[in-house]
Amino acid sequence: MLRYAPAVAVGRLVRWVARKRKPGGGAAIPGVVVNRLAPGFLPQVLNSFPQGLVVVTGTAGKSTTTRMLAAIVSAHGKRVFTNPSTANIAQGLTSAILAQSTITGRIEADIAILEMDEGHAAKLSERAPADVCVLLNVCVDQVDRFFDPQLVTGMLSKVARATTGPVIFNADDLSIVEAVQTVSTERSVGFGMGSALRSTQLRNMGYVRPALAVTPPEICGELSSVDGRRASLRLDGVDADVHLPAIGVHYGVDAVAALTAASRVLGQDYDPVLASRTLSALDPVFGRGETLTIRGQEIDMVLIQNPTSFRLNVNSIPAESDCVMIAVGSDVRDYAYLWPVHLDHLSRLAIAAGPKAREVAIHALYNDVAVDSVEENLELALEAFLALPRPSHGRKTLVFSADSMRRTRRYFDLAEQGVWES
Amino acid sequence: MGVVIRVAKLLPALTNSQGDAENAEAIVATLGWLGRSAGIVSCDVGSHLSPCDVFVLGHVTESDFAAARDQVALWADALLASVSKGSIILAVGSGIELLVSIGLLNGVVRPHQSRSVTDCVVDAEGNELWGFENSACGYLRSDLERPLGVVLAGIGNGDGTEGVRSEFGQGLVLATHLHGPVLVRNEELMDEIVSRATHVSEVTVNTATGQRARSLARENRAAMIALTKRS
Repeated sequence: MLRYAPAVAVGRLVRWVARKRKPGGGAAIPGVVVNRLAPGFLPQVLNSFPQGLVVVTGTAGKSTTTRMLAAIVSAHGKRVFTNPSTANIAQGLTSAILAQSTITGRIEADIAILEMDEGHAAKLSERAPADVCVLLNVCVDQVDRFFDPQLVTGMLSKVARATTGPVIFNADDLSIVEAVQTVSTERSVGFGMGSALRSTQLRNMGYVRPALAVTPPEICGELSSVDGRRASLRLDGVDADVHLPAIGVHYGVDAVAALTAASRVLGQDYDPVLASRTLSALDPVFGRGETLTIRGQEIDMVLIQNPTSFRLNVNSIPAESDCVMIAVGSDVRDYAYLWPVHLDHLSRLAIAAGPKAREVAIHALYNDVAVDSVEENLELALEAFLALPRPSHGRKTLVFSADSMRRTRRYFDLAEQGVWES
Repeated sequence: MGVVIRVAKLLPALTNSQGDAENAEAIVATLGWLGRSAGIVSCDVGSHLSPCDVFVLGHVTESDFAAARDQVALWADALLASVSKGSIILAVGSGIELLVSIGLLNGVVRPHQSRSVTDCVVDAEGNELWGFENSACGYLRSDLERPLGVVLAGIGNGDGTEGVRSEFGQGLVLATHLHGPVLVRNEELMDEIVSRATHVSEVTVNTATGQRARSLARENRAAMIALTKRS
């Protein structure tokens, strides 16, 4: 690792300069520089953890599942290295490493548990195969990159084939079932919903190919029921009840994925009571059903990353909420693929914001949702949102794309408040 | 309200990954703003296809293409009959290839050298259309077919033109590589379809919601065209 010391030193210098120039921003730049200077650095570090590398990938739920899994493994006494949810591509991973490594690039941790973008996970698996991988789902996402969901299935299949140990997979998603076809049955460990939940909820999960009319493969982790934030599940024949970080069946699926993975990562050391207790104590990941206080106002923060998360999250906003702002940034290359999400669940939209503000407003109006104002400048929109009177029902809700989330976080200096960073 | 205008979404489960099927909803919303009664007919794999005033057939990904082609083949007679009697069909992306497979279009679908994933601006007889294309293939028109316009930015059909406009009996076939709510983004196309479906020569939206939505769409298109031309 000593040979990477010069690259690490340059990366740290870049990080220092980036932070000076743009407080709270520029986080990926050191990773870009180091990956270019020393392309072997990232795989080398990922291969260096004594108890291995765990990769969590798939379209939706990566951040929540990773956070749950990392917390559970950490509670069992392991030193865990993990990444912030916004750093799941190669440059972000390298930046996250630079933030914690020694000058030679060594991370003082027993195990790495990382969420990875599907494309980057497949590419990295050539040089840094996972010891355990968790494959969550395939939903429509970033159609300019992943124009055919079959491409994503192929990427996840590559991750699964490269993985040396257990492959934890979502048995309710046929794309995922196909991706693990070449993995031996001894190594493949399924999770999914119980039959009652499948019959009512599977159709709503946003999977491109939900396993609706087929008998799912045998599973080890089963989500039996979800009632508000309470979920009942069964892992290897043992029942458990957990408290989810936020309301939504998808959080229950994330929880059963995380617990199933934890049991395989920890093996004999796995303590089901400790695992459930740890999971139940978690706060939401930033923007995933989280409530923050900004200038004395409680605001629900909702991150949308693709049509599935947009649909699930908009539908979970109470119908009577009358103070909702949706901000979509230039990270959404073409807004068109969000049109299949019907917004008519909302009673009205207070502000359509961000570089795609007009597209958000047009979408809402065609869905017969009244739009009070349209503001392309996100900072002005955030100020206008805070200046709105207290809503007649519930809290103000801010729905944003990843880029708008980052800008919002920076604008309100939220890096230290409620934001989970590695 | 008069006669209910029927707008069919063909294979919505397979053709909406880029929002193409939402054009059907947008047509119904526009007709509603005009005070006309309209409804969506959703036609999935295995459905019987009954005559409709407008059909929308979006892009199908490669992995689902064979299933879509098989289903469209089963609907071929009904579709050809309906369009020849005056219906309109809008095809987006690989929906063009599906129409070729049943003879509603007579050109040839040709693969691009590399996939075109970009904003596209088209000069359509003086109106500039805008949309986002995400296509592996272009289209070589037959002699009887006209393009929607000339490409000013982007790839389109791959020969400097974009889209297809073809009269079929008393009906109309419109096809484009511009994904998502192309009719929302380009009201000239929406108005042409609505005008033919309602047999009204001029489309005038008077409701406040409709006017605002269309005005925002015009502003957005102008901004996107300016941005695309600059880049």
